[in-house]
Amino acid sequence: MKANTYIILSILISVCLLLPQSAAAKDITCASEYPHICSFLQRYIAECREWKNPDLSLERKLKDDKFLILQGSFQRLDQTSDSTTFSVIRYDDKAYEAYWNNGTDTLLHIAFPIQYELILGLPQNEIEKQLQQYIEQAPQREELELPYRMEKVTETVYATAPKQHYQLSEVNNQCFFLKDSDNQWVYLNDTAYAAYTIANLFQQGLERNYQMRISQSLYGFKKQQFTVSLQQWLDYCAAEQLTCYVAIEQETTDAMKVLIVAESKDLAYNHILSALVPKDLLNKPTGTILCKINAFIPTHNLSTLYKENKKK
Amino acid sequence: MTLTVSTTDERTTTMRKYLFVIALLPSLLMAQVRLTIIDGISNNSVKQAIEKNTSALLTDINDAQAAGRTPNFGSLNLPQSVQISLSMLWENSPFMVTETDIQERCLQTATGYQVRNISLQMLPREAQNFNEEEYQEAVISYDKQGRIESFYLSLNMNLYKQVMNSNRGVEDLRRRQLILDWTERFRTSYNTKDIQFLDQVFSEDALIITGKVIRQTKSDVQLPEKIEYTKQTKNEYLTKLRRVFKNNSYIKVTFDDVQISGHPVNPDIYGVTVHQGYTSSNYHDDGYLFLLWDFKNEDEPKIHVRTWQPDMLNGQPLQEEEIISINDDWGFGDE
Repeated sequence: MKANTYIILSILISVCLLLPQSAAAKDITCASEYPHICSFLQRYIAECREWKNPDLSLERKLKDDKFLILQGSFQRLDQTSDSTTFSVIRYDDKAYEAYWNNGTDTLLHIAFPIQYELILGLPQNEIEKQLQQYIEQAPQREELELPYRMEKVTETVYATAPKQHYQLSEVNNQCFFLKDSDNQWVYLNDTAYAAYTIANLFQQGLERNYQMRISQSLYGFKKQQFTVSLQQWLDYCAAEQLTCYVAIEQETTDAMKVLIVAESKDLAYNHILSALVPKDLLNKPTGTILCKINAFIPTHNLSTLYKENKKK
Repeated sequence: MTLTVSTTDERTTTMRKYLFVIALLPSLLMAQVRLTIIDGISNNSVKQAIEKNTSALLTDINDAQAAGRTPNFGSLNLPQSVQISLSMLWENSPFMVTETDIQERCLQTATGYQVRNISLQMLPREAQNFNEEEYQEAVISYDKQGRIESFYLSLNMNLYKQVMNSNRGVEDLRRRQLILDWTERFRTSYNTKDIQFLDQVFSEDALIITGKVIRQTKSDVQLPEKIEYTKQTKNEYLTKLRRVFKNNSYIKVTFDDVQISGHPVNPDIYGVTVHQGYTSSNYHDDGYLFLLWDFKNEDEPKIHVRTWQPDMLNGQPLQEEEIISINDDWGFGDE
């Protein structure tokens, strides 16, 4: 941010601080398809308007949070009315911008990074403890629509297209299908195609009543253990709009070690789930899958997972 | 993890490199080897002593190689322990210095100074089986007057690019994601002043290097800024950090531009470079943090190296080649 912008910001903030009555918390106009964003803006702006921390200036806080006031001021939000328009724009997977306008008059124009710690007000070591609760409380997801496009994998096996992958081609979101005798698409569910069946298992569920016994790695070298159903996990992923990418990491004589990357683009985090699926489980309607999970891994500040080594 | 075996093309390239060095050997061996310290030490007389003592040693090594004799370690005013270790090294495999004009930064240690990344080529005697050439890098330590205190070797990591490319698989992807997770936990530990976590995550022999900008004036003229590097042990670092945590009610650390590198040889070792912002009750700085992670035990990874350097020098951002990374010599290549 340029020096003159910070000077203006400082002056505006000083005015807010000199007029305590205008710094009181107030509901701000905010209607958006991003409910997390509205909650965040209500909380954060109120917090800034009442800022009194002697150890940290508001200017420093805004800088550390990378919360930019591009036009207008918090104080001008006192001028909002029923005719005030509010809009949110998302820039790639990096940042949001929000505007409050009275006609052509911009009351406030701000930008902030897509960072869940900032938006949810919860650091990783706090939010990760709530994972089990989030999974158990997720509403049942709607029935998945069959995809419109398929690509041929073998003479009889088809996969959803276009394929989306995460870093590596083999870590992808594809589901696999056969055509039944009525020429209808059915999810591939056959131990002869274990890898494809496992992909479908962690994308659609295949109506299996499997339990996932999860060991979750927590901050401070701690762990917590809990059990949820595969269906609950899939419902949770759908409710949080996570895209799941599945790959086989390792195959032994009796089991498959599966990697599932559950990616949130809205809040910039990943869950990394590692599941051990016994091969003979695929023949059974019920059973238990042992899993390990590392949750809420922030990705907003990731530049590259694969930095090239260069000789110095 | 299966490592790639070198192919015929790679062996041919390696042999061509070997023949190229052999062809240049006479000119390399006859030239004086000169070490120039480019950064990291402000005491000019000690700097000159380090440069002179090191240049003399490395020049004698190359002269000895050319003449087919043992180096005159005794005539170089080296401590007995260094003479013995160098003699044993030479006995095992003579070597030569591959560069005649060496420019390196200097680190400060508790007992003096250290220079790393001195490139050597090992030249085993004819009687030995010789399967492939060996390139190594030397680390030289000095006392506070710039006299050589020790000389040891660590593996040059920069030659293993082929192996690095073949490591990229699903397991590696999962580990890199976990590295990201642990790096975030490392950041959390500073924000929550969790010394216990830091004590557990740093290995006992962890190397902590901190750089600071030195501003000097001479006859009222501002000299160019320099970065001085200080080396600390884990205990020294955590003792100082306890004081910082106690004296500051507010600490906030931010990480941006996170970059993860895999070690080209050791699949358990990863390097992470981040741009760090540090804010406390009465202080703020920005710089580059480098962490060398050991992921042999995925449930309890360890940090072997933690370095910090400012992100600006003389009003300019630090160049990429000046930013400490996994490409610097940390060892861990021969496990």
